[in-house]
Amino acid sequence: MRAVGIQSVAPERQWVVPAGTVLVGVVAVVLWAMLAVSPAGFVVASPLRAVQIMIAGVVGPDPVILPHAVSTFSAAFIGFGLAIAVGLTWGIFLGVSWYWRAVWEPIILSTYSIPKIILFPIFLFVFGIGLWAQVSMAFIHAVFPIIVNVMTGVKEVNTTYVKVGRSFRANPWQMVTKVYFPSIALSLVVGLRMGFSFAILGVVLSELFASREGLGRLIMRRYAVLDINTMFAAILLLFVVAFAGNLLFWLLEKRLRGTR
Amino acid sequence: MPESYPKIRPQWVQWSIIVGFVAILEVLSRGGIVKRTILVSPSEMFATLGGLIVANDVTPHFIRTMVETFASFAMAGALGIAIGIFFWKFARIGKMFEPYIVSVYAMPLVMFYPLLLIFLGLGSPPIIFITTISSIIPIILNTTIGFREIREVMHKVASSNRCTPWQTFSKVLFPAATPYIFTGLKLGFIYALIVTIGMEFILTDLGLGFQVHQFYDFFNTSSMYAYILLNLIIAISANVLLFRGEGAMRKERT
Repeated sequence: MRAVGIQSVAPERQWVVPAGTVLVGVVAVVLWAMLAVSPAGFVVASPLRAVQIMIAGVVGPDPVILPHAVSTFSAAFIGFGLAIAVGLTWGIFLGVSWYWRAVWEPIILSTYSIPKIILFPIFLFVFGIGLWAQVSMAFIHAVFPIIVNVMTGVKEVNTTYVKVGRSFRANPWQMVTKVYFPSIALSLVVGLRMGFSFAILGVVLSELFASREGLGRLIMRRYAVLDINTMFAAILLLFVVAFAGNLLFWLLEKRLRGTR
Repeated sequence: MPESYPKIRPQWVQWSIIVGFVAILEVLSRGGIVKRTILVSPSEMFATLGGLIVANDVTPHFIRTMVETFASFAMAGALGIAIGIFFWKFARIGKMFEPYIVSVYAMPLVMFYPLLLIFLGLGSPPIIFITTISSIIPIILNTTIGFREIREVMHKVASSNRCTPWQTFSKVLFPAATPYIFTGLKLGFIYALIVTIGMEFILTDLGLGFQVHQFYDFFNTSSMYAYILLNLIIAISANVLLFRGEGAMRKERT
């Protein structure tokens, strides 16, 4: 389940691609701005207005968005943190042992493929409405891509490297930091990128169903009273954080790919 | 390095884990350790589900979910392969779009549902729209990779047989890229199913996902669990079938 990038561009004129990427973004914003002044404009805030209200809502004197953002992102980060801890432990354990991998891999892949949001009522029964229900959704959305990618990474560690490490009499700590970690770094980052994205997704989806606060809830409530500006400001904040986080992991991924 | 593990076949341990998990739920529920309002026993879930199927409660929701899933998947498949080929032919344009393509999952597209309601109306179309966007991503990425990874010798085979450009594409390159495209389609279908059920759960008034939501609202825990079970069975069966199909295809080609 490795995400693989689109590669191989002629080395000359390397600025073309980043410039094109920026251009695609600019065109998207222009289209958004056009939509805002079109007949559909009554449900679309202009980009400029959305940015203004987003900034005012987070750092202004009357921060209407801030508490919701704190709620959403703290649930996502706690869930993501737990998913990293569990995902790493399980991924390494299953990557090392072919036997337990044969036992657990089909179960894990099957669980990965279910629409986890429909399990949310069960978590609501257990935790009640509030932070921990959202954390549990972040966790179960994020943990599977991390397990699967770490497991694949550990499984595919080149045995020659392990033998080289042994013949240099590397101690267990050195084996982990010098042999295993560099080999699995790429798969780990792919897993973390997907886990991060899915954690935020899990929180926001569950907020739409039942929550006390959070960006998902704020967006729906502002839409209900047709406060389109705040709604777009909250969507923008959500997208900016999710996009930035994803992009950071992705750039790290590209770097790691480049070094091999 | 061979490991010294018990001689029990992994499949047996696997089934013991699954059966054990179900048995624990059964005991927790039947023994009154967990209240009925929180968990009903697996045997009751199956019985309730059977009753709902016989009473024809499931049919309209099943049809709705399948129509939305397959409609989204069909569009994502057709468009995704075309875009994937385009991004392979024009690699530079592909690279320009790449950061956005890989970030689509990070974006909770469901936030645009209110807007889609205005453009596409109530019912299935907004769901199909969001599902198509989610399903198309692995299809685009895998198609591009599939064509890029074709070995040079294939191009030589085509030219030494004096293939026309269309023959080169349809008889040589496309078949060579098929395993990757299939992987993309497999992931695309799984995503289509997950997103459809998820959207129904949150937003609509028909579909297998919605039924979980509705019975939650009715405090009908038994029927709610029956529908959760049905959704899980459908998702897991699709997953297992697609993985088997992929395995069989790879075996055939080697």
